[in-house]
Amino acid sequence: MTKAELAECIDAYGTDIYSFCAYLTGSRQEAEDLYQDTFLKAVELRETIKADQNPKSYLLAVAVRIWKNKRRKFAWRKRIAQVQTLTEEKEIQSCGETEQSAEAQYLRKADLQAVRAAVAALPDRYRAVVLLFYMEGMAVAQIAAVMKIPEGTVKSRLYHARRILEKELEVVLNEKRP
Amino acid sequence: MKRDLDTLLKQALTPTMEPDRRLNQGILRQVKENKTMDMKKVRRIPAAAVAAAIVLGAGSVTAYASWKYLAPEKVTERFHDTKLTDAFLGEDAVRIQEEQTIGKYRVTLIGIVSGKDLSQYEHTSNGIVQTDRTYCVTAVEYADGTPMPDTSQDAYAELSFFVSPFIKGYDPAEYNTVTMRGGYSEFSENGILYRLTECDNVEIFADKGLYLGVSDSTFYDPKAYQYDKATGEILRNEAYDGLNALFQLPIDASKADPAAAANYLTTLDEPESVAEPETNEAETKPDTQKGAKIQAWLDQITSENIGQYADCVESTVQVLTPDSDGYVSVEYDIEGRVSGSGSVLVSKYFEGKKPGEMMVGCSYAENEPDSMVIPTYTLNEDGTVTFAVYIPKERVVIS
Repeated sequence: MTKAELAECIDAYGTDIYSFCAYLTGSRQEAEDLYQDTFLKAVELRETIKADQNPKSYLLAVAVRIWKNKRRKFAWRKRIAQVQTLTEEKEIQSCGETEQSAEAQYLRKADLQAVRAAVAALPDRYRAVVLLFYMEGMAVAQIAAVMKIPEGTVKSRLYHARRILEKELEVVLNEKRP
Repeated sequence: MKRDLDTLLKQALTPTMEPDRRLNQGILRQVKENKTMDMKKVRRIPAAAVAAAIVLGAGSVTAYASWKYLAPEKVTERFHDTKLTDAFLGEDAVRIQEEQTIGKYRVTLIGIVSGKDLSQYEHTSNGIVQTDRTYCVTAVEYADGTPMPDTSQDAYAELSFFVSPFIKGYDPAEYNTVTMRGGYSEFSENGILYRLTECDNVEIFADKGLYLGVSDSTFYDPKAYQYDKATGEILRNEAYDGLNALFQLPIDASKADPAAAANYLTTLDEPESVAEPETNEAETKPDTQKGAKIQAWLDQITSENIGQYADCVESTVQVLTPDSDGYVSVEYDIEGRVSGSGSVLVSKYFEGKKPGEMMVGCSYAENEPDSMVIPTYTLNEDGTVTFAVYIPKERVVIS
């Protein structure tokens, strides 16, 4: 991979990979470490990441692998309410919010933050599949390949994660929003 | 109308977090500095040509002329690190030709050198350039002669090796290349994987005794080695099913610097991140003493007496049939307490065990005594495995 190819790769998938790393680790520093390690490892492992081989899946698989290995080390470090920092840092700017009232926007923002906080609080194994499924839009089979676990386990984890989230987000789910 | 969880999740988790521009620039710069791309494109040279190159090129290093491994300075040459190449040719470098064959791997310790500013590539940790370093060259190969995959091959991604200096008297779980700000580079040539490992200078501990461990894990695996707290000795775990080579590093004890070593240990014990100053050491380091107590408590549990120590959570009991690959996978969820999952290769997990024997595990959250659960697997006569989770009757030391 040439430096130009790597730069293109970062340009094309940087946001996806960084968002995944951020939500997976819940910490800016760990996210940056994981993000950096992912691209460096990807370069080390392959001379080229071919466009037709789904580079995003490949990079996510590398990130998951590094994260699994580093979890033990990460766990040594106290987590200091990074979730709030991360979730407040960037707000979703799509969905035509300009037409909404300030109150509606505030409520919507609060809801999304509640969802992110609930996802961040999921056990690691559930959080990873939830992020791959909902954030990265991967199919169960793709997640199984990336995580190197059976498809049944992916489905089971998604099921358990949804149950936990439904319970945690009961209020949000049952409230009407404009 | 009730809102849809799937929609809400997709909205909330839309990837919008952009990496800092400096972070991306740092990646591009590192790749350039490390010559990583060049390294992976090192052309394979036919064996005969390599032998000739060594004979012709090694000059005074005759010991390597008849040896199949690259000399340490040849390994560093591959990484375009001329400064480190010079260091390995210098008087302070220790050349070693010691090999250990364990399981399917043969590991050869080739050379080690320590000192300040030995490499032309800076290693930074938390933004601080680390200059006083130890560099070690090892070779790993399949004992049966099967070539190790090239680093550009997919099979390479499946390999994991952990190469680390250990210090006698210090638990390797806490003092290893990861905690000592280490890193590595590697490449395959002629079916041999060469790894250049670096970490903070361990020569200052030379009077205590130094080891080099090589295991087939990504990080330190406490199952691979045993640490004798009483004597400080680090030993191979003979029962470990995998690679767990352990070399004594022949470093002159006169190179020790006890004052610098004591100072270094102090800095190492400080919180890792300057951005998180309130991190408390007691909360961040695994308490090995506590771990030993828990293990001792678990060791007394058998399938016959587990009822004395813990209560079975009936909802978690499952009879598992191995899948086509021989694995059983399980997930459990004890409402309000803990959830978990596991997957074990039955033939390996129960190797040498008889039906009826119970394998006892343990899971808990740090500093949360009530979170402890005991997952158990019991091999049945028909080859199935019964899984059950138990909750200790009494609080076991965690916090």
